[in-house]
Amino acid sequence: MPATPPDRALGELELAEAAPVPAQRKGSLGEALERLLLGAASVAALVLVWWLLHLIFGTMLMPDPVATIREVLAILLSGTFLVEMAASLRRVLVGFVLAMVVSIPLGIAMGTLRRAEGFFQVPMILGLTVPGLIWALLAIMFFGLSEVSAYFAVAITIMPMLAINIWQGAKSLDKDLMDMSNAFQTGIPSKVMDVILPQLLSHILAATRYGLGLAWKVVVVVEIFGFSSGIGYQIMRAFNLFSMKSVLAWAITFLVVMIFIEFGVIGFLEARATAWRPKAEVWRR
Amino acid sequence: MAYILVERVFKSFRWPDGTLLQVLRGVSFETKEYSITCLLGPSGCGKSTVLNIIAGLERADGGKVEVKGGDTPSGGPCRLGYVFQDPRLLNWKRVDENVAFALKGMGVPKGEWGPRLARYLELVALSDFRRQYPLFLSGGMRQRVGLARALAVEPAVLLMDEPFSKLDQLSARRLREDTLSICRKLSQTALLVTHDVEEAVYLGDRIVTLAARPSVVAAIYENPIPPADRSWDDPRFIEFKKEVLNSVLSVAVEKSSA
Ligand SMILES: Nc1ncnc2c1ncn2[C@@H]1O[C@H](COP(=O)(O)OP(=O)(O)O)[C@@H](O)[C@H]1O
Ligand SMILES: [Mg+2]
Repeated sequence: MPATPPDRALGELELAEAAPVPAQRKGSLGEALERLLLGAASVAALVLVWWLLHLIFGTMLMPDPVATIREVLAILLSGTFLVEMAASLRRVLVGFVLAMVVSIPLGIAMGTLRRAEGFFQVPMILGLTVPGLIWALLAIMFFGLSEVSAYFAVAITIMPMLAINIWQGAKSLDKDLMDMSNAFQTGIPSKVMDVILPQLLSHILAATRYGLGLAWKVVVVVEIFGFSSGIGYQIMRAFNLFSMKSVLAWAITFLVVMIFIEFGVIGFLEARATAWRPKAEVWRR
Repeated sequence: MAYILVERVFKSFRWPDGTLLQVLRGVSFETKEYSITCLLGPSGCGKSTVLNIIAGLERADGGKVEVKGGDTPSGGPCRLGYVFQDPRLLNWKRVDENVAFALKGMGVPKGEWGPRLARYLELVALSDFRRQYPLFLSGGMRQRVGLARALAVEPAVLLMDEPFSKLDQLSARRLREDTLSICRKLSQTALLVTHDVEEAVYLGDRIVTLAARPSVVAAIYENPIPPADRSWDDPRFIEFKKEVLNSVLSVAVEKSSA
């Protein structure tokens, strides 16, 4: 008789199967709660600093946080808020989408075609340095005080930044995957949608974050110049009344919306877009 | 009828520093129909380059490559399936979507995708994993996805570039056996590139050896042992392996003494 029965290995396998199954990943609810608490803590820290500034500079320059929050609530409950917010948000989003629609093909072309890179590199770098204020002025001179000038100013201000991000991503597309798709005779639409864009996604998301922030800055400038609607217009009005409290309150309403976009929309997209990647445990617990 | 004919193919690469590296110096061979042909040679001798030229990923400097067989519905160039050294999967797509990607590229009508996915994922034993993402699979399983993707386009000739060389010994051995049995089952004409003599002798019905760079074909062997009888400890198998090995070694020695 052999020293070890031949099916010893099988027995061990069964043992392994009887071992506890790894638990499902920690409930996403618990994770969400933790995130919420961390977010709340950072807001609390901010309010604390604000309150200290209020103590130092006085109500005139730095109204106290509670009164300002009350003002925010009053704004939210007033009928005008939704209208003003919708106007600003529409300008941000339309401008952003226009810029993105141009930047994606442009960035891909610059990253993959030597001639496109040579041609567009200088204008993009120059465009990056032109302040949104100048585009806003030019837009209003060209298109007057119409929605078009807001869309134009936003789109052209953020476009170079978006395109440069996507260009950087497109320069490091995986050659092996491109060869693979060529070997299977993949057509251009499938190559773009299935092979190229997924590799650029993290660059596009990063660009989206910067882009929306920048777009908001430009929109406020454009609106301050003489639009009669939008958050920027309301901020200007509050400024003319020298009501620091209202200036802050209107700005805060917009921040809240942007935070919602960051966590709700971009966060959701990011989570969906990275579901295929096992999560790396960078810092061992 | 399904075969590849490679005739006096030349290829040089221009390196970024300007030097010219001649890789292929008139390589000629022909694949064997409904069988596996192995292209055997040392690392860096230009085996991948030969496959890339056949697949149209590189252009030869001179010579002729002819691929025949496996009529495509469009009457276009006939289909090749390519299994790469590393799996080269679209990691953001599920296993079945990766296979469907190749079907889309090759213009297979959408109605056929379902049955083909089922059939070829079953063949490589991945039916249970069809909805998983590649990065959650083991290296061996990922390579199987690559094999299913190449088979699913129902190629006239299946090209394989050292498909087992990055796997651990056990997975490699299993996948080698499975590849052999799948190719036999499908009567698949295949061209497999390898630097491993044992692998070439185990899988190849015809073995084409390349001399070191710049490469020419050194010898062509017909494997005397039928596939079903090829086993690692069979004396005939060992003998044939020695013969091929010796010829590969003698070519290498000639080169270095020249
Ligand atoms: N695109 C390329 N540019 C320059 N040199 C290359 C290129 N592709 C391959 N080579 C060179 O050609 C030789 C053969 O490469 P390859 O066909 O990959 O060899 P093998 O597959 O036999 O290991 C190598 O020396 C490699 O450095
Ligand atoms: Mg190689």
